[in-house]
Amino acid sequence: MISKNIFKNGYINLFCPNSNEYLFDYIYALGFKDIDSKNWKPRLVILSVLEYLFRLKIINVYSWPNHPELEKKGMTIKETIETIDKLWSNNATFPDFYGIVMFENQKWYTEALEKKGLTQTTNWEKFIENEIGDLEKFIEDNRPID
Amino acid sequence: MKTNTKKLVDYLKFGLLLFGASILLWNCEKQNFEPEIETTKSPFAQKFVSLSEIPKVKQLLPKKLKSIYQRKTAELNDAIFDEGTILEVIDTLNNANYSFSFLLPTAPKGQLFNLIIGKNAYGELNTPFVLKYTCEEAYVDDFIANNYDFGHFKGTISLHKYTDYFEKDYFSKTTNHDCTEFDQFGDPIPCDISPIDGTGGGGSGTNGGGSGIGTGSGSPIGDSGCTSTYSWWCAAGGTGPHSVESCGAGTGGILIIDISCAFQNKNTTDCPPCTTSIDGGIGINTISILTMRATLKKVLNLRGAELGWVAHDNNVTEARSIYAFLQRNEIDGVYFSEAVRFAKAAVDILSDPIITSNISGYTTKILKMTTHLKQWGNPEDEFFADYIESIIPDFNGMTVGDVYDIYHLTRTQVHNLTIKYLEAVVIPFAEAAYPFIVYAITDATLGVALPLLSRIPLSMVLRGARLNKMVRNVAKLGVQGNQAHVRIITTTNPVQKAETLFATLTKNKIGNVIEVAPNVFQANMGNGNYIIYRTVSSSGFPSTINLNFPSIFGTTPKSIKFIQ
Repeated sequence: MISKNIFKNGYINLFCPNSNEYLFDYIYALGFKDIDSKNWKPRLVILSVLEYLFRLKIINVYSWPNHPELEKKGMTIKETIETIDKLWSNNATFPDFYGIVMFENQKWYTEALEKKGLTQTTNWEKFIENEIGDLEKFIEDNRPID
Repeated sequence: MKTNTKKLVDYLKFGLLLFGASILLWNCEKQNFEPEIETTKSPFAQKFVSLSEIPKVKQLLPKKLKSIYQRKTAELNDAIFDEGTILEVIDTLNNANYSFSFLLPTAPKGQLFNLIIGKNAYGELNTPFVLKYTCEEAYVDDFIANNYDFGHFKGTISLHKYTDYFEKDYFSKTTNHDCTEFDQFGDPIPCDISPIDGTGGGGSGTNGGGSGIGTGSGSPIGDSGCTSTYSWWCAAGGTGPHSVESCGAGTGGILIIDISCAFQNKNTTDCPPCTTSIDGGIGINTISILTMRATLKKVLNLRGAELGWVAHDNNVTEARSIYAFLQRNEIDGVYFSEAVRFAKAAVDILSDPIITSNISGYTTKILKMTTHLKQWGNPEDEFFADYIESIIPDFNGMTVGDVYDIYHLTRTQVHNLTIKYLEAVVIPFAEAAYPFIVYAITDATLGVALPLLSRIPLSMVLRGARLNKMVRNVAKLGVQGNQAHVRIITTTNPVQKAETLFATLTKNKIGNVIEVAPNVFQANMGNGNYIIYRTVSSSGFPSTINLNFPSIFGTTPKSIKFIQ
C-alpha cells in the first residue's frame, strides 16, 4: 500500500540519495507543509515510510547525534522506528530534528545509481524519468538478497 | 456609413500613393540607380522641429509624459523624451505626423520607441500611438555603429496603443482606465508586429518608391487580429537623412503604415482602438548618436580621454544613459547644474580605463570609486562603498593578483551602479555585494575570502528585508544538486569559507549560536527562520549551510553544500 503511494504519487524525492539526512527532509519530501510534532497522523505516515525504506534496504541510520550510546546497540528495523518515535518529542521544532537521528543511503543503492550515471549535480527527477524508469523495479533488481 | 466613407477615402489616398510610388519606381529604374535620388520628388517633406514649434501638439503633450510603467512595476521608470528633435513629416495633402523619440531606461540597447502624433489637413490631432522598433541581437551592434541607420536594421516593428506606455489621461479627458494587456514577459501586447529588414537581406514588402529602404512590409507576426502593410520612402528633398542601402548615406526613411484590426484587445469603450487611422507618412526618429555625442560634449564640456570615451562605439549604451539622464533633468534646454555635475562625474568614472598596477595603485583607484559612490550614490551605494573600504586594510596580507581581482570587481560594480543611478534604479546592497560573495566563496584564496565575507557589515544583514535579500542571493551560489533545494559549491577551504559565511549571515541573530547536535550550529533569525551550519554529513560534504526561511523558500529549507 505504501509502496504504491510513494512510488507513484510524486514522492520520488524520498529516494534521492544523499539528500535526505534528517527527519525533516522526509517530512518535507512527503509533502507536509509544517513540522507538527504533536499531530499523530503525519508522524504515523513518516514512520511507516521510513520503515518501508529500511525494508527496501535503501537507508540506514548514520548516527543518533544526541544519543551516541544508541549507536553501539544493534537494533531491528522495528526497534529503530520505535526509538525514533520515542526521541521525536511532541514539542520538537525544526532545530531539534538535527539531534534525533541522521540517515544515510546504503552503499549498494548509491553505487547502482552512479553506475547509471547519477552524479551530485544530476537532476534527480529527470534522471529517474530518463535513465531508470521504474524505480521500484530497479530497486528490486539491484538490492542485495538476504 | 461614416466609417465606410472614411475607409474609402483612406483606400483612395493609399491608392494614389501607390500610383505615385509606381511612377517613381519606374523613374528610379530608368535612372539605373544613378545618384539622382534627390531629384525624385518625394510626396513627403520632413524636418526636425522642437516642441515649442508645434504649439497645438504641445498643448496635448504634457511637459513630461508619465509612463504607465511606473504604475505597473516600480523597477521601470519614466519614458525620456527628446523634445528638441521631433521629426515632422508632412505629405502633399497636408497630413502631418510628429515622431517623438523616447527612451525607456530599462529597454535593451537595440530597442527604440517613437510616439506618433498625427495632425490632419484641418489641424485636428489624431489619437497618438507608439511604434516600437526591436533590432535582432545579431544586428544591434552594426545598427548602432551606423548611427541607428535603418539600412542596418533587421528586426520587428510593433504598433502599440499609446496607453501601452502612457497614462490615458494625458491624451484624454475621460476617466483613467487600464487599457494595457501584458504578455508572459511583462511587455505590452502590441496591436500588430511585423518583420522589417532594412539590410536588403530579404523580405518582399511594398516599397513606397524607387528609393525605398530594402524591405517594407511583412506579414504580421502572431495572431494580433490586425493586418498591416509597412512601406518605405526615402526622405528625398527633406532635411532628414536617407538610407545607406538605397537612399544614400544617413538614417531612416519615411514609413507608410496601413493597418486594420478585426478586434480590440481590451475595453472598446474607454480605450483607444488598435485600428488607428494613419494618414501620411511617418518618420522614424531615432536619437542620433551624433546628436547625443554632440550634446554631451557641449553640455559636459568634454575633452581628451573623456570625449574619446563618449565617441567610442563600445560605449553607446552608457552614453545613451547619460544623455537620457540629462534630458530628464532640463527645462527648455537648460540643464540642471547638479545633473550636469553628476553626468560629468559619471563620464569621469566610466571612462577611467582599467589599469595594471601595484597594490597602492589599485587602492587609489578603489578609493576614487568609493568616493564617487559616496558623493553621488544612494544610501545603499554608500553602504557598499563602506564595505569596499573596510577591506582595504587587509590588502597588505594579499597578493597583487588578489587586490587586482577586488579592484576589477569594484570597478564593474561601480560602473553598474553608476549606470543604474543614471536610470534612477536603486540596487540593494545585497545585489551590489553579491559578486564579492560569489568571488570569495568560489574563486578567492582563503586570505581574500575571509575579509571579503567577514567585512559584510551588520547593517546589511539586519533581520528582515536586508537579510532576506542576502539569503536569497546566497541561495543562488554554486550549482544545483540532485534536487532544486540543494546547491553545491566546489571550492578550496570549504569548511572555513562556510563557517565565515555563516558567521556573516548571522551577525544579527537572536541570542547565541546553539550547538543543537554535535557539530550542528543553529542561529535563530526570528520569525521562524533559522540558519544552520554543520560539519557533519552522511553524504560526505565537509560543510553545509541550511537556510530555513519558510517565508522565502516555502517548506523546504535550502541546503548549501560545500565540497573541495
